[in-house]
Amino acid sequence: MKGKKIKGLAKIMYKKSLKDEIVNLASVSVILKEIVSQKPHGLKNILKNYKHLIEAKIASEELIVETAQKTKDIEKMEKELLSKTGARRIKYKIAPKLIFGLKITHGDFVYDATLDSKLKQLTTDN
Amino acid sequence: MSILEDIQKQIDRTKLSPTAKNVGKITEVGDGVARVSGLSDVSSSEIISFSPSGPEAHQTGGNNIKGLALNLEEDAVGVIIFGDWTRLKEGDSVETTGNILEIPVGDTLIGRVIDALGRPIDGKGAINAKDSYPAEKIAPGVVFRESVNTPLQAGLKAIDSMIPIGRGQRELIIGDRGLGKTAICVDTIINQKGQNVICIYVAIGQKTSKIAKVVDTLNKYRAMDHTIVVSASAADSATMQYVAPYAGCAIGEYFMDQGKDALVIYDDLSKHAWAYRQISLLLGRPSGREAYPGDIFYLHSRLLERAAKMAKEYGGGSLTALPIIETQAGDLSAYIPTNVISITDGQIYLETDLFNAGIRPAVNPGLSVSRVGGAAQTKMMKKVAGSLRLDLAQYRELATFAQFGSDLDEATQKRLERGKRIVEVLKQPQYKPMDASSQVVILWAVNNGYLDNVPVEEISSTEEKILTLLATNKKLKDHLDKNKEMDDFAEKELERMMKTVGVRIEKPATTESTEGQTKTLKKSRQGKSVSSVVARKPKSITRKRTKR
Repeated sequence: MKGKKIKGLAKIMYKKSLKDEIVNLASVSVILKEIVSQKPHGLKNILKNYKHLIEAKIASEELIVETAQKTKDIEKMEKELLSKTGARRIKYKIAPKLIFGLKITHGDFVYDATLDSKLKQLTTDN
Repeated sequence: MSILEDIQKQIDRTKLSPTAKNVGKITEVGDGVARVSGLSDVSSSEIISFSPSGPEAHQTGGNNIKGLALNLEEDAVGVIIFGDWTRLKEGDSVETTGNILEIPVGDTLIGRVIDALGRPIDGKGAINAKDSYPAEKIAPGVVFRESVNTPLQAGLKAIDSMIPIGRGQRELIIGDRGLGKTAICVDTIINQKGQNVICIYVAIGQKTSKIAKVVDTLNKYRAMDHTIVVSASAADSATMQYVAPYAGCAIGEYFMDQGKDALVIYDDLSKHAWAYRQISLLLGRPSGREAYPGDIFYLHSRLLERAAKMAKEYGGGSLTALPIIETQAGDLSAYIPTNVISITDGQIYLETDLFNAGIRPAVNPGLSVSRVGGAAQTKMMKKVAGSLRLDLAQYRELATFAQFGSDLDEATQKRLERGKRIVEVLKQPQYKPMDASSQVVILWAVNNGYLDNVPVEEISSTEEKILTLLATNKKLKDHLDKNKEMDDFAEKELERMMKTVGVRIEKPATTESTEGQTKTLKKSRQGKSVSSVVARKPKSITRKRTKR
């Protein structure tokens, strides 16, 4: 099977595994079982493409908020953050490496207001 | 104290606002090209910053590898990498910078050798350029331009007389390898001394030794004082070779915008096309004729379109482009040569046969043209060069026939003799560019038949004699330099000068018969015998040939 067909098939699988524009884990497992049982040509590549699409979708649904210490204030802004970014849920992480401040990751966008990044900015050429 | 101040300054300068970045991950990397997932917000030809991971990267100081986003696909981005791609791995993080490719420009660059990104490589320390120009820029529109009207003297008789180049023109130099394409350009650069032209020599895919030689020559003739060398040698990545001409052009545009005149030499664009072909094939773009991508024409047309002569109200600066194309076995109809010929305002075609016959510069006057340069030629040059091309063309035609024919009439023989002398006069040694007035004087002499009596072997020495005499005749030289016109005074003075040198006209020239010439004819009697000896020569040659 050629690249284009593989990509097309992965896309169809991806669309079928969405429910209300959210990745539905139940349908994902059904689709996976079906495709593995059928064993089409280039299965590995199809699965690779499919994984890539699902991962990107999940990343866009999720908001990762990283702070150096546990803070309560951030949870107040939860609603606003979700409505502004269009994400479905928020994951909190504690990373002492950031020293101070906050870092929000949404899909492939990163909003960084930590002391760590500021120090890094100082060390680069610009 | 000073170190502390320095640090303080640097801290003050840095913007420490929260950053919004668009990040991605490398999915594939190799051969100077990477495919990156993520980066949904990247724009075409945006600079991408790579952060190599692992202990090695930590040691070497982290993320100073940059790339250029070229292919924006549905779920991936194709990036070409400047620098050491071997340090990058699959899974390394990548982020956008929000900047497009910019080249530092400014007067501080003059006399320096830089790489395609504007970094100095001549070991003379940092360049403090205040400005930067985008590498890719849309060429100035019709409103901003005016037609070419000022000559750019190459300093070579063959070029300035028959294929004149104007400031703001694009003149292609085309020929096989080793025919002196670079030599013409180097001579042109040397000749720009004191002409208020900033020269930018862009070496693309050249041997580093050759680039070093060019820089050395320019230094030797003190031409680096008005020259910038942009070097992307064969050892540099295809990415650098691809960017180099745009960088050179951006630097030239800076000077043009300052109202100055700039000359950019792209040496050479066939290697640029190869570099772009490599990049395109690695990025997986569909290939067309000779495996070049579909936009190979636009690659060169958008570069050469940026050469312009700006209108006075927009500064009046100019950017002249001299692209070089290397042909394979003289094949002008290959893909890249035809493309660039159609883009440029003319071409200087160098030929192997001429080169081997000792005619250097080996310019073929039949196939070389300048479509707009004529308008920029000075009046005096126009006057002397007008008949030159025709005479030479006729000579070429006759010379081929004369090889077969046995007896030739006198008129034909005259033409052949004149042609031989024109060819001899148009020869010029390397690194010896000539100013316009000297060129005009020599061409005037040969055109008016003053050199017809001089044996071909003695032409160069006679030429030298005339030039030394011209150097002493300040009145005439200043007159020619100032008025740039061949008027009665100049002609009379020249006639007098020719007498001093000892050259005389045997007969009035067929093209231009003036009273002055007929007078000198009457006076000259010795010339006849010499010319008849010279004229007999071809006969004897042809007889020998027919016997065989």
